[in-house]
Amino acid sequence: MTQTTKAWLKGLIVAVVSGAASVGAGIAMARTEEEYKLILSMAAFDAFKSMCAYLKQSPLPGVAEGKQA
Amino acid sequence: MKLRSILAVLMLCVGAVAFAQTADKSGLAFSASSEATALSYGGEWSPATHVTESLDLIDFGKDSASHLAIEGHQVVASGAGFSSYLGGLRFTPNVSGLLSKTNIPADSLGVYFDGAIGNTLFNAKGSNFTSLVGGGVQYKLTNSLTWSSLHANLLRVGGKNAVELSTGLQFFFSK
Repeated sequence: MTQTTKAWLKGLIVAVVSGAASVGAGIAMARTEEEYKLILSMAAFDAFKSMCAYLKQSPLPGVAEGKQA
Repeated sequence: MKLRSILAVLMLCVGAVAFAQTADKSGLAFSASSEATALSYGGEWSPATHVTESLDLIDFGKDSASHLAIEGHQVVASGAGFSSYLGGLRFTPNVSGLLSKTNIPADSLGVYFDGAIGNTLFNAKGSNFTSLVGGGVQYKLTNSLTWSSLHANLLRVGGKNAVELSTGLQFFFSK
């Protein structure tokens, strides 16, 4: 398994754990279909942010670090 | 009166400051940013918040500043009654070649282009497929201060266009 694959797998695990935590925290409050959709969308975005934060700390091989977009 | 209300809300948005502190091998880095966003939907302007997270995916050559990133967008337009969640790509071209013909320092200007698709959830019920195209220009005033001069996005939400404009400041410090 290459370093890039390992980094992505770890990033995905971080995303899943973070997303699950967000869903768990918000799902109890949801009452309607719209609220469920909103919670799932927010959880997906939180998961993506967590994955990015993790992968920025340990940059993917071949991708320059520290660039400000 | 209406304009004053919009300006007041925009100033409140400016007050929303995000801080991040990271430690690396070379020491400590600190950054803070403040941004104001206004969104026009159905002919009405209202304040909005737009959070973007991006991760560099492909670097085009060792000496080139051009790179492609994946990104996620969260657009919350409370005034317009919807929130959008989108995923897409950001392309940042290398403009240093163009800048070398001007008086602008080569590393002081950044340009990027966004494209994303996703879903919009309306407060009043329902959801719609949404697309986003846009871009932005950033100008570095000093080594520790970047002025994000303008971000402009066009969202296609529920068969209607939404225009989004934002401006802000970013501060960087590292030691």
